[in-house]
Amino acid sequence: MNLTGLIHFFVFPGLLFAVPAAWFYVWGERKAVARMQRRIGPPLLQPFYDFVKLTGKRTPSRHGIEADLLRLWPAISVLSMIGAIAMLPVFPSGRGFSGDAVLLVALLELPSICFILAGFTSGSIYGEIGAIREAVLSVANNLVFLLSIVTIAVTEKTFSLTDMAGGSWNPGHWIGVFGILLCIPAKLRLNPFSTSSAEQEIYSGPLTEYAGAALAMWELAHGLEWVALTGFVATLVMPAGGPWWFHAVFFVVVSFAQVLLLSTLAAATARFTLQRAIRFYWRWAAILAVLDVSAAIYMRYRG
Amino acid sequence: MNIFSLIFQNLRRGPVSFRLPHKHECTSDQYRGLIVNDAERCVGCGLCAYVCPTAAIVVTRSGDNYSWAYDAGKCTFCGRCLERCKPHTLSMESQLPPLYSTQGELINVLDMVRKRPVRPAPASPAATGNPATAATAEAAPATPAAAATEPAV
Repeated sequence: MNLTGLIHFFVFPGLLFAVPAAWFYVWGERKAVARMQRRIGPPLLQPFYDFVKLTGKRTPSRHGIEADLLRLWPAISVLSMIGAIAMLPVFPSGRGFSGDAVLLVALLELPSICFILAGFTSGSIYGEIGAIREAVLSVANNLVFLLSIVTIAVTEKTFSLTDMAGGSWNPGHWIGVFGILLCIPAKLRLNPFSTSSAEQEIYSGPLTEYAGAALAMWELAHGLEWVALTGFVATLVMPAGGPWWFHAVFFVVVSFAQVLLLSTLAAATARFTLQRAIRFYWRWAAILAVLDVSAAIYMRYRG
Repeated sequence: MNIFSLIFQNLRRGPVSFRLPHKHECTSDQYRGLIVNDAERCVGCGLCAYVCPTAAIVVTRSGDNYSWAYDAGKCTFCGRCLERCKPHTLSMESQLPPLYSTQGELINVLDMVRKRPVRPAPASPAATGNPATAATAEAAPATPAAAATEPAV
C-alpha cells in the first residue's frame, strides 16, 4: 500500500474522517426523527458520549471461544466498514483497481454477516430470531442491490469504482442508483425494514446479549455503515470535474442529505413484517431491477 | 400521505419536550416535595422514622443528642411522616425536588439535642391547702430529671 492508500485508509475518507462522521450521521438521524416526533432529540455529542460510556462499562464475563467470537464480530464489522469507506473514490484520482466494486460489495456485506453470526453465537433466543430475520432480509435486499450495481457496471462498462463514479447522464446509471437507495434502509435496519432488531418484539435481536465495549463497537460499526452506504451513493452521483475541496464538500453534503431522507422514511413508516419486506424486494423492486439490468445489457450490445 | 403532512406540521410547531435540567415554574399548593424539618421544634421522638415505609428518615440517638437524617432519593413522598408528627415540625416543600447526579447528594442530616417536654409544676401545698400533698412534696424533692417525662412513642 502506497502513501496515498495509507492516507485514504487512515485520514480521509478513512478512519480519521469516518469515525466522527459516523457519530455525526447517527446524531443527525436521531435528531431528525426526534424533531419529526416533536421531541428535542439528543445533543450533538451524544453518540460520542454513548460510545465512551459503553467502553467504560464492566460486562458479565464469558469464557472460551464464545467470548472471543462475540468480540470478533463487531471488530470485523468496524474494520470492513473502514476499508469500504477508504475505497470510495471521493477524489477522481484514478486510483483503485479493476473490479474493486466487487470487493466493495463484499466489504459492505460483511457487517450483515457478522450481525447474523453474532446472533447465533450469543445463544440467546432473541438473538437467533433476529439473526434469522436479518439473514432472510439480507437475501431479499441483496438481489436488488447486486442487480443495481450490475446495471451501473454494464452501463458504464466497468467494475472499477473510479469509472463507475462521476454522475453519468445515462438513465441506467440513475435507475441503478435509485435501486441502491431502495436497499439502504434494509441494510441499515431502518424502518420499515427493522425486523431484525425490533426492540418491542425481540429486544435488540442479535445484539441482545451484548454490553460494554463490544456493544460500543457495534454502535460504531452501525455508524460507519451509514457513512459507507450513503458515501457510496454520493460518489455515484458526484460530478466528474471540479476542485478537490468541491468533491469533499459534495461527498459530505449529499451523504448527510441521504441521512435526512432516510430518517424521514424511518419516521413516516411502521415496521414491515418479514413477509411484506420480502414481498417488497422480491416482487416490486426486483422486477424494476431485472428490467433495468436487461435494458442496460440490451443497450450495451445494441450500440 | 397524511403522515408526511403530520411530520411537516411537527417540524413547523417545534418540540414539546424539554431538555433537563428543567425548572417548573409553579406547582400546586398541595404538591408533595422534599420533607423539611423544623429543628427548633423537633423533639426527636422518632415517629417519622418509625412510619417511613422506605426508611428515608433515620433517627439515631446518643444520650440526649440525636440526629435526624432524610434521604430524598429513598423518599416516596407519601406524607405518612407528616401525618404522625405530633409537634407538626415536618412539612413538605411545594417546589419540585432538585435534580441530582450523585447517590445520596440530597441527604439532609440535622444534629440536635433532645428536648424534654417539662410538665407544669404542681401547685404548692400552701396554695391548695391540702396537707397530704404537702407531705408528699416534702418527702420527694422534685428534680428536673424526675419531672421530665418520656414522650409517647
